Amino acid sequence: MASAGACCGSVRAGVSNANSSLSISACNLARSFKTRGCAVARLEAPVPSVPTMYFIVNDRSIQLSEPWTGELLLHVLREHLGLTGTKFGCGVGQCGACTVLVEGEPRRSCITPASAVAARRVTTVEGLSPTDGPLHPVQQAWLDTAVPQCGYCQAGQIVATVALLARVPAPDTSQIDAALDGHLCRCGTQQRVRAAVRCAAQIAVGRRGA
Amino acid sequence: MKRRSLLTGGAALSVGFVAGCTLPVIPKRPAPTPEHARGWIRFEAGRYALRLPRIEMGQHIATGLKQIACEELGIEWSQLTWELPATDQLARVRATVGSDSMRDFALPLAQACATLREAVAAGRTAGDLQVRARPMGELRAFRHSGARWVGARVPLEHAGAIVRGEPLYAADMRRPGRVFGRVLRAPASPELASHPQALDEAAARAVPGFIALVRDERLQLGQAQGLGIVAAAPGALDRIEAALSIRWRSEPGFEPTEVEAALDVDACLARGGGRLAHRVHAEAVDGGTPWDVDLRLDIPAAPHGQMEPRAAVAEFDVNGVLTVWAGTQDAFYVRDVLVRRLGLDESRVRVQPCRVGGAFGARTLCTVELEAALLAQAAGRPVLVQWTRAQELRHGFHRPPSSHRVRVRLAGGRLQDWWHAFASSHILLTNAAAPAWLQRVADVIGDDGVARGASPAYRIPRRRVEFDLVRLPVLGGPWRGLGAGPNHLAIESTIDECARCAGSDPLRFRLAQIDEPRLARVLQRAAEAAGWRAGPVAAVSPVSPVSRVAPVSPVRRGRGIACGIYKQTSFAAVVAEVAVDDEGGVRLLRLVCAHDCGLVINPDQVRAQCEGNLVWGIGMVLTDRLPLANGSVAAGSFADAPIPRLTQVPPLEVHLVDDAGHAPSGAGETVIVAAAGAIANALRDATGVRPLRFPVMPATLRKSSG
Repeated sequence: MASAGACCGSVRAGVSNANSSLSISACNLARSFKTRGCAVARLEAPVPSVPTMYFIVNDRSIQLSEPWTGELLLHVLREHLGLTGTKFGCGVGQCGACTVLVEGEPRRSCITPASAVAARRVTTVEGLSPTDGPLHPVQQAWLDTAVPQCGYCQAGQIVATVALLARVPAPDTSQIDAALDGHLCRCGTQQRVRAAVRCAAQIAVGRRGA
Repeated sequence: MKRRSLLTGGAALSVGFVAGCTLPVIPKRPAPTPEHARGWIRFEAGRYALRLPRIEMGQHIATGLKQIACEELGIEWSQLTWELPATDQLARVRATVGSDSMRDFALPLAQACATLREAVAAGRTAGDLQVRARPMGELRAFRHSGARWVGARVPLEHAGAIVRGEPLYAADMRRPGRVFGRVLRAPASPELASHPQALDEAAARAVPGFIALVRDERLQLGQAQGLGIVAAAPGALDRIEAALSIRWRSEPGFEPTEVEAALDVDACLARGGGRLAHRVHAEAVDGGTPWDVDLRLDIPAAPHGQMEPRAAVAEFDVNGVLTVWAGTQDAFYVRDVLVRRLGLDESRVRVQPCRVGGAFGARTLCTVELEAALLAQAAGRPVLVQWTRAQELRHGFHRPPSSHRVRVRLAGGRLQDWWHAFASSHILLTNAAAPAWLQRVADVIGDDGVARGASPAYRIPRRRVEFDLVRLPVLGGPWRGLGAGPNHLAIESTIDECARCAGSDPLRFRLAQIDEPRLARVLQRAAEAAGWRAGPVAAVSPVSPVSRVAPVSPVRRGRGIACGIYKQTSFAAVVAEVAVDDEGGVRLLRLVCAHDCGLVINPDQVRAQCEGNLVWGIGMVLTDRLPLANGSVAAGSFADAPIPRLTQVPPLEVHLVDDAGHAPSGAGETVIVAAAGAIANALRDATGVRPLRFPVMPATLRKSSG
């Protein structure tokens, strides 16, 4: 990703003693045993360690410790923080299912090290609207247009649309295509995605006017 | 030589399988009955609860069956809740495949709901009811007029959770103490015997987060012996894999040219003395006169490309009961495989289906579920296994490649003799699950999946349709529409050439030789909607496709039409309009579709399925491929095995024939029979070049300098 270097540069400020704390995660060999047809070496879980970086996810400050500081942002969000709305699709930044916002800009979290977002603001699909409150205009538009089929790529598409509309409040087709062409959908929801983006723009205008 | 035996199905392979295991677990396919449906719906504390007998994978069958239930029960939308039941909460149901959920499950569900409605109205609120198998005509859910939920636009179930990012899919299931697993295999086709020969275990153990290395012979996939790793964090799996530096030992590979040669339909015909092994139609078409149309079409292997790489979470409870959360099309088959391979009693294995992030046939076997269960058993903790995209491509199964020869004689401008010969690898009895010896035994009965859609829907006096099944070293299996997509692409390409040969408009040519009124109706509907006026092709084409004159515009435009019947019950026609630039770059201008699946339960979602299949048609013609090299799928990402992108999708127009005179049939695959053919025919119209090898590469369509 073209901007990865820039991200990493600003990250280091937020990481304290990342290298010196690495050894904390070393595991102790507890025991090994054999079961039917398989040999297994079993180890204890990592020892909890002191926070080494923080970042902000959906307006909540998160302290991150080893081993999670060495993980990709996608895994930290999903497996450590339980924000499973962001999806693993390809692992190499090609499909867009893992897209989140970092300081409002769309980022592929499957190729973004957690350390790259230290001290930065991350927004996931869960952070677009309050749990029991009204939906974000883009989420509402997705429902109004009945976009999702299997739904797996939709969080990435929705988050990317939020970023698009922040930049271009009323995008035309070519602007929509440029912003979302990198978001793959095998079910074939592309036409409805385009319609939903336009619908979201209108909802946003309506809400601002209200 | 071993590599030869791979392609000819020699004895060497089967011996290995017989020695390794017994008959594979065969999926059971019970027909849903009113008696089964009794377990799907119940009334409790003033509310109704539906245990969905189908898997939810984007077809929104939960919404559709809820419409049926609410209509029949005569209740508010909010009075019925539903769940995806685990295998211990429901009598066995068959796999969610083949666009048959509405066709086969709506009626028994409505029958059960009618019985329940009458019982509740009579004041009964407890006990078991005997469901009466009343006919469709007596049920409220299938009345076309006066319906409240059926035929209406209703909120999509799960959609709110999807847009909020709530946990729905297998990998979203978080269990206390859950760790992460992966099964490593040789970078070779699982059809080739392989195993780890050397590895650096000490280096792996030194990786922070390492939990276990699992050597278990049951981690075999096809002929590929896997090695399990378990780690405390997902990223550690990558680092452990790298640290292991595994050297794999694998059977000699194969070259793509060998696969092509094995599947070459002309070579198959030559080997069989002009005959292939399996017949769909067996009329004699031998005659002295030359063929008027003679096409050879080749359609490659293609990935499913579903966005969710398969995933499962497995957990043993304190009593040793195994629960597996899985994104599968066939939870009961997964349970059967787990019972067999883990040697557990059926009562000690539960499979909890989760929403599937795209299936398209890819989730019909048991793969990642067994891996998660074995790793959880070894590690003594809940384990999540999600395949990487590279594993999906290298170790999953795919649309089998197929090779087609279609020859036609015309008489008086009509179809007279039709001979379609094709070769494919197996689909229903896939090599991803069935050993070679079993395939050879079962080859006596053919493979209905390969044959699907091979019978042309036109009035043809003499028809011979036959095929060979070739076991290939690439894993093939069910892919949206099974054989219907590729077979119709071949048929509809040929019909288009026949119309040209007869000097007839392709719409008029088709209509003149179609007896099925529902097929004729969708053809007319699509043509009308697209503004298709019958006439000689050249007269309506902006640039004559065979013109040798310098074009007035650098863009060549064309239109194409195609149609077909899916599983005898659903009908579709598509008109495609394309523009092709001088370099052969293709831009679709629009796709117009008409679809008839009888009574429509949810028009918006039938449209959505049609739209999806139109996009799959784009893929079949322009993108879908699976490169092979060195005995393996040579694709590790979407860059190597692309699927259609947003910018390749033109405006899609869907017109529904809502025919209450016919019971609801399927909509999940119908349009795939017409979409690819229409696009291919439009390319032919625009360029004069008949697409014969798919996907169509720009070089094929480049404007010749002459």
